[in-house]
Amino acid sequence: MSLTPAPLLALASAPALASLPAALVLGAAMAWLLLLFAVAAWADRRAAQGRSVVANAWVYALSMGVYCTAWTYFGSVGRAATSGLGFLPIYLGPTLAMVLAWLVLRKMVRIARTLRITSIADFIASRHGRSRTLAGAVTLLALVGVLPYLALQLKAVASALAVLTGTPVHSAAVGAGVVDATLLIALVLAGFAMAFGTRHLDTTERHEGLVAAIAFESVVKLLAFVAVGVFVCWGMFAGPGDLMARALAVPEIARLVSPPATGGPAFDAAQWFALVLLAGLSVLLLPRQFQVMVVENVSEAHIRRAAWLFPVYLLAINLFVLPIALAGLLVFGPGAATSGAAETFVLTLPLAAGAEGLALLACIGGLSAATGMVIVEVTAVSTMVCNDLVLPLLLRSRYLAARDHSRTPLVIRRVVILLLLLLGWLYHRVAGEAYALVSIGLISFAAVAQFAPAFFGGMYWKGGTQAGALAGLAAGALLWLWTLLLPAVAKSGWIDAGFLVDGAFGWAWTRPEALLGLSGWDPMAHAVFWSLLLNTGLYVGVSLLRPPSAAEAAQAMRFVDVFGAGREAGAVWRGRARVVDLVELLGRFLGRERAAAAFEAEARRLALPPRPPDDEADADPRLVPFAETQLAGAIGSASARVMVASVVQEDRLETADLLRVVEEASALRQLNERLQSLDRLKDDFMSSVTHELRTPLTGIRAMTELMRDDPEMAPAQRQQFLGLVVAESERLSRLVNQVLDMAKIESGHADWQSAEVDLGALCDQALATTAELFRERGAVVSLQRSSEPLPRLKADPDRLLQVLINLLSNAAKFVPAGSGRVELRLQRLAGAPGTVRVEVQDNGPGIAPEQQALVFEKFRQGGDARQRPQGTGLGLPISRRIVEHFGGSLWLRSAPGQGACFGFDLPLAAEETPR
Amino acid sequence: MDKSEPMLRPRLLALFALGLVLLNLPLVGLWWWVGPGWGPALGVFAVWAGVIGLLAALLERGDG
Repeated sequence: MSLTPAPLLALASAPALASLPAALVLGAAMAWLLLLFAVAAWADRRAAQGRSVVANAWVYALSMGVYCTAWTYFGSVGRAATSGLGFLPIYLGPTLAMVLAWLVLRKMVRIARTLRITSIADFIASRHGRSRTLAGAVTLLALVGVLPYLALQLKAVASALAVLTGTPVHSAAVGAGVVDATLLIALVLAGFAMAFGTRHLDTTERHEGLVAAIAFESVVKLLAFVAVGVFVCWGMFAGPGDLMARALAVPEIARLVSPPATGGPAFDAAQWFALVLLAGLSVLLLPRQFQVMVVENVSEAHIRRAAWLFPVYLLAINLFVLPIALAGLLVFGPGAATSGAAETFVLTLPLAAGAEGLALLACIGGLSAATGMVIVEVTAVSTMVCNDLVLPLLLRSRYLAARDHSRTPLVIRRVVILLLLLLGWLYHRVAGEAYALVSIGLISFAAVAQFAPAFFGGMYWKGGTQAGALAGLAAGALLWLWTLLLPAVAKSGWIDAGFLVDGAFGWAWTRPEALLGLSGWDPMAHAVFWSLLLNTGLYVGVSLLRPPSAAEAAQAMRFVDVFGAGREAGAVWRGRARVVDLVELLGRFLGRERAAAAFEAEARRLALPPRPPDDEADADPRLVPFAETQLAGAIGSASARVMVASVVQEDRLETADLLRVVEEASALRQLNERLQSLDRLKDDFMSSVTHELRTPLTGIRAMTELMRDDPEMAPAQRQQFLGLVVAESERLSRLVNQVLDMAKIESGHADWQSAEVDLGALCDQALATTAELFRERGAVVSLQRSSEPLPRLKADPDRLLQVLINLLSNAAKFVPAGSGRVELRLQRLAGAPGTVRVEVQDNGPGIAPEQQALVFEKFRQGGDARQRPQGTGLGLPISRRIVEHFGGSLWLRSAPGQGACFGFDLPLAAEETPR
Repeated sequence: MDKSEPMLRPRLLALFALGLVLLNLPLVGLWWWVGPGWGPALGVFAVWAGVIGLLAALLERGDG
């Protein structure tokens, strides 16, 4: 990229644009689509070989980039050209949502995985008693909201191709060749979604090829956009400073980057907040986002990194939006902002500068943004339409009874994909010129935001009911229609706009953009406020009218407590069902062999006796919820419930029964987890003991072998080796004794004497025993005791002496050689005259706060591993057990560089307190 | 639950509240008074990058 000091273009008048041959542009577009097929096929092949390319956080984060559609790629520049930084809330909202991803998105993924949920409609319906009505309503709203958005992508593709080939962009008479190309691209995209988005019936099986292609597209669109940004800033202008200086010289452009007081656009806080909220909700609730973030998630651990990588992606793709917008207005004139031409600045700026190659790359970037969105959106919506609209109708017609339907849902989904894309293309042809890119995108965002109360309420509040969710959703959707969609349609001139001024039936308080007299707000903020307020209010209010049914309560527990007791709620079922019926039902949709294998695996997991798949005996009740969950993955939870109900006899379960069963199961699970934890502790202990035994044994063996193999060894060296063998043997004996001691204490089989103990005399004895140790170390040890005589206490004197010796010898090991000071203090505890305190204070290196708890664990020693003195790592744990046995506590007070003070408190009057 | 969850949860909620205030409420409007020029844009982008940086530090430091 050349760094040109002056703009390449004369800025006084809009330049004539070069154009590229149509064959070249269409050829590049088709080559791009073929490349996508190749990437997806390669990823699928790798997955089949067990070498997944999508099982990492980077690909997961990049796949989230499907959020950035043609709306971002072209529309953001258009919005920046009219409102400066007004495009940013659409990306700040997702950033804020991602701050909570580790808490919220992880829960969504866990719920979806546990219940085999494959779409947002299924998520909301499954939570609220697996309601078919609710699933259908969510699907319908998603469909109405998403269709214009699909059209928008195709419109963007058409516009991009038209700009590059020189066909007038904003004319109704778009060249036939280009129109056909858009249709062709739509059909190719349909083929792609069919091939890679509907490969399996069980959609919880991930679509690796599709995800890989989407991640690849995200990289391409980012690189293309940044390349245009860099070219504009440094290729067309002499850097951002030059660009800004020129922009400030033109008053109509300068206002975009000026404060309101000096003629800039007023900052509308309500609009900013509404857009941040909408975008934050949409990044989790748009069908395509749910698909890539929840359904296609490989591992919950990936969320941890993707939660910040995705916002980094958003920031990067937006860095050059404002520079491109300003440059476009300088090159094509301020009028471009209102004519809609600003939305193609990404293409027209390189063309105007004669950089046709870059313009072609920018076009591929835009195509990439549009195709990624289209592919994932139609895949996600086709699952919803199939499971929640078409299959329920077929169920009613009994078409699905007693036949092999392992291909039926796939065929339905493929047909839906084709229809969706054809409808989207038709919408774009008929209405595509009616809205600016930004208006269509925002209207879609506002539609899916209506899922939020039932979605998040259902995840965190057990009181939400099906009736509440339906009431809230219906009210929210109606208000969205009235306050947002109809005004947009009216402003496009399709219907009489009179109601905008007069309201419905002449009632002024119903005016769509000033409901209940709330005027002066930005229409989007106004619509979001009213629709979400009423939606949330009705969800909560109607839910509170009656308690949830048993089915709703069970699902509520599975959602809200998915990390805890909710797991048990899913297994609660009462009634009669035969294995053969369940296998036959599941086999109808998954294939008989797969169904039989699934049941066999689940029976093994539940430790049930093996049974043939055609067994006519009653099945274990836990297999019924299992069958339903498996089926839900294929046809949605609402339809799965109806299908399972048709082959079983279910007993009515009251909410109280459900809660009791869940409580019992939860207690059992906790007990089981505790046992497993103890088992792990035992294994850890055994592993540590054998490790500790091996070290001295290895030393003994090495030295004795050396002595055996070298009869000529010098006597002095032999003597040294023998000394080491004796020392290691002593260490071994000490370790074995301590392990046995620890085991006895822990098992309650230790022998405890009970006698009158004079702690002062014990301290003297301990000091005498360790005196040689301190002398060798060159350390000074002193005893400080309170002047008043301490009464005797009843304990085991040998055990307490063991504790004192252990604390003193520990101190001797850690004090600096030659200058060590250790103080043994014995006193009544201030403020608690019935307690005596013994402290051993040293001037060693001290113990870091994070290691202080560890030193009381078995086989854990404090200090730097390289300078750690020899020891078994059992002294302190044993001492603590002894002190606790006599009703006291052993503690540590230390800070790095300030020595350590180990001490224990013992109740004077306390008798022995058996544990 | 992840071992780091109890520590992470309040910190993430605090960062969310901070981000909500800094990137959202009328505070963003204050950047407009820095202008005219790149000032407002750089200000918002810097705060944005700061929030992402804090988020990355919180999530990558955990033991999960």
